[in-house]
Amino acid sequence: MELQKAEVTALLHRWSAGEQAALDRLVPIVYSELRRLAEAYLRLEAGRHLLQPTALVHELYLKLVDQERAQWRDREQFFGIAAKMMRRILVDHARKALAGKRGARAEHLTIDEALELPAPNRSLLAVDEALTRFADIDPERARIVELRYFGGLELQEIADLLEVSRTTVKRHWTVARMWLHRELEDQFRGPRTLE
Amino acid sequence: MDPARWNEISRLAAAAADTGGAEREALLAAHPELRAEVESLLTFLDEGSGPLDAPLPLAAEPADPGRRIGPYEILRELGRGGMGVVYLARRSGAGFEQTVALKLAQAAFQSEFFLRRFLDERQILARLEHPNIARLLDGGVTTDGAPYLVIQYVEGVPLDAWCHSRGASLNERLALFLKICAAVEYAHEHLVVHRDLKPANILVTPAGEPMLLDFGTARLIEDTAPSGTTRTAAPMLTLRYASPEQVRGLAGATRSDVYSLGVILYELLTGCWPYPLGSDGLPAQLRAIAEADPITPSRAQTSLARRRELRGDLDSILLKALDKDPARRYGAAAQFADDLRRALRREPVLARPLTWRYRAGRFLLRHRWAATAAALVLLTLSGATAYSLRQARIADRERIKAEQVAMFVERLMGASRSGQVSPLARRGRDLKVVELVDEAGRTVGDEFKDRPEVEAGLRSTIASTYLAMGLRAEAAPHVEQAVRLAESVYGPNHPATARAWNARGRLRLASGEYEGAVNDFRAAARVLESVRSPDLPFAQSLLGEALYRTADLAGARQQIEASLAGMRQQFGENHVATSTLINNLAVITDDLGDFAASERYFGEAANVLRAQPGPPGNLVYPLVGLQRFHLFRGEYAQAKALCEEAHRVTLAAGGPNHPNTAVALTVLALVKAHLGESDAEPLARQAVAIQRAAYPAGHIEISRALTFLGRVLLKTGDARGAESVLREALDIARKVFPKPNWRPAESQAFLAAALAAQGRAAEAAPLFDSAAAEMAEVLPATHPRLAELRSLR
Repeated sequence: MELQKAEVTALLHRWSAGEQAALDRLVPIVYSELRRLAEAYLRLEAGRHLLQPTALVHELYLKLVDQERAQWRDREQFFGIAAKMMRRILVDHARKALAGKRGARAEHLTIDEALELPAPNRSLLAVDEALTRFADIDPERARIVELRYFGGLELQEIADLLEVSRTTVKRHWTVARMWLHRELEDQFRGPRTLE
Repeated sequence: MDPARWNEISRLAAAAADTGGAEREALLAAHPELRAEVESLLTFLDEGSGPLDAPLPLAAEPADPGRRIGPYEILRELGRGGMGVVYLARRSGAGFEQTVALKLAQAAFQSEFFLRRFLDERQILARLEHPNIARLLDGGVTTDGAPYLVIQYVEGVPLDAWCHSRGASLNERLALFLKICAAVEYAHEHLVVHRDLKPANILVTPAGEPMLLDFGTARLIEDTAPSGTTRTAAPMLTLRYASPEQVRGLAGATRSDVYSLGVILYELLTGCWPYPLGSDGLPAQLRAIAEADPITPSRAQTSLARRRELRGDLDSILLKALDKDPARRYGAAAQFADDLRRALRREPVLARPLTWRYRAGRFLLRHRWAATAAALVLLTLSGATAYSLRQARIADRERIKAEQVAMFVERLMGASRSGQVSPLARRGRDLKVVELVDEAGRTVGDEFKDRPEVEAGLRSTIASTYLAMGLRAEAAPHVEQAVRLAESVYGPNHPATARAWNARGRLRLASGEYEGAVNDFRAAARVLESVRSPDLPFAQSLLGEALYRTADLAGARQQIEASLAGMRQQFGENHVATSTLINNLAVITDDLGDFAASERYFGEAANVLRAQPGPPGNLVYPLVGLQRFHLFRGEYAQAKALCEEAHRVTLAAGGPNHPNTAVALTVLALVKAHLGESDAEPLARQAVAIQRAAYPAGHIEISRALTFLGRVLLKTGDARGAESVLREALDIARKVFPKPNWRPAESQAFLAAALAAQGRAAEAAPLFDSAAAEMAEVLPATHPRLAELRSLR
């Protein structure tokens, strides 16, 4: 574990320093570890606790990164990767939960199907799909939503990661949030599919 | 949607969201084509119950009140962090009922590492029994194997909120703060460093008593905010109270806690953070903590009345607590508190920054080198302590060792807490570093008779300090002792042994035993690399230097490049400490014939030094190195700009008579001679005059200045004048470098050119040929100096 820590920390340094190849090695490690951690929680049965991605991502950070050696920049970069991975894992999980119910492999859900899911999974899939559409027209703001919603990052942390001011992030977030909520409301209003 | 149209819509929507009423209406009215779209977005402006307004949950079930853990019944969740959850719990028994906080480790995180931390916390807390520290009551393991701690439940309000809501007076705030200091001091006496002191970790009870929470647990369970406030902020980013050394990634020691206490008091008294913030970004915060001077509290943004109360003693006390240099802060929370009490009683306080600055200034003026060495001693000693404190997290034994070292140093420095002043300290500013180190060397053997591991570390430090002062004979016995002790206590694979080897390598390097030095540094580097020690770059840099001395240029380059990468990783791209390494690399690559690398390195070294405040006079070296490449390529305008920059910098840093100024003048004169400018010769002569005054007769720098003067005279057509100064230059250089070397060879080649220019070809030819042969012997075939030589012919 300590070896892995040292490796991840070193990869983060190298990636922060502009070495793209380091990212190629970093992503699989973060993904598999995050997945392992997340599944430990997702398997939990009723009667257990609510856990938020923030806690999970922070836990992963503690687990994978050597705090003594990491610099703030590494930390932000790490959270950036983790948010993306987190989204992928959660969406996969929710899709599987749904597939278990209906034995289907369809990519998109009908509203009825979505309503069969527990509430968190439902909004998660809906947000994910709306966000994917939003990324087509506004990738920059979509990234901010990903970092905040799926990665649990604070506005200030996002600002540091993207090297813009907190005010800028806040404004982007406000606009993205309005767009997504309008989109989500449209989806749930009529008997249409989530496409 | 069309991205261009969305771009306009989103911009208008953002602007409209920022305003309201008539202003918003005006904005929308100005863009009728976008209005409908933006308005439909704005109906979703209010935050509320949308899916994005709530944090994303992974599992949907609520906590489980009523669950029992050991004899405790869970009432509700208080907060949670990365590794665990904190519950409010109750224990009922015959005739008693106790409400407690219960920290439960998450089952998923029961790694060995984590369990060790959890047990550490238990041990730390078990040691602390203080009315103002939340106490450990119990601990155990659940039926499914998760460990938990039971801690006194504190009902209270965070310190800052409490003061704010009551509108507490200055004296009330100070009284509260003094109690906090006493609790921190108590913990320090029990060898516990908090490392995460902040108002959120200090609750004030309804009775008005401050209670410290999360002692030694900051890194364990991070977020214990009351539930109800959804906190997604990363606690690790709470940097407001972190000390400069913590920001640099060092483990916090007691003086870090003193610093955090300083920030807490500063905020309590002024209502603001001690540093000016240009932007609110995290990097700016980090930089402010590491570098910025705190705003004098009485000048902070606060009421006039409060400013009057702060002016004077409280200003001085806070600034002392917030000193960037831990050694200049209060040594203990108790000293901080004592000074505050003195201020309250209107007695003279210890903190007097003006007096201190005055004294320090005087000291620096009188003992420039000694002050540098003193800083070095403190650096090495505090470095040793920081290292040991890192270990301290693993074992108490090590923590005690670190504290012992710290106390030993404090005793030497006379900063004992009993208030007694040691004979050494009484000498005050007349105390020489060497005396301090002598004293340490005399007493260390007795002090640590039965602690060989402590003695080994201190002997390494003492030896390094002597070596830094050039006292090889004094260093030698300590080096031997350090190596012997470290090898027997730690064996060959421990960083402490590496430190001792490093010291021996430095002794050997200074004594000219280069091969031995290479072996020592190589062995040290191997160990430091295997433990990923932050000291590795320093060992690599020394190894590089030793290899350079053994003429292994390629090996030297490799080590110094590795060192540079490590230093950059630790200290950042533009840290001044990297400039010497880069400059050395420029010289080595030049020797190796890799001129592209050499030019690049000179450029990087120049940029690092340019970024320093000042900038420092030694910027002249990379600039001179750099201009040479332009000169060789005939790019005179660029060369001249660099030379002028060098001249400006050296004038500002060292004045008109500084040797660095002379170095700048030599190259400036030469490039001006190439450009046919008339003041080339006077500038070159001025350089020679400066060097003759600065150095003893026969010094190589005088030879260098004379060579440049000769070259200038050759360019301006005064071949006879050139001949005479070049003869003197050659004479000096031959004495300094009796073996083949490019310096005398170069002077000789220019002398030959001066003779040829006077039509004395027969005299010139043999001089030129032997110079060319000498240069070819010591320089790579592609070296520009050789090309220049050929062009002379």
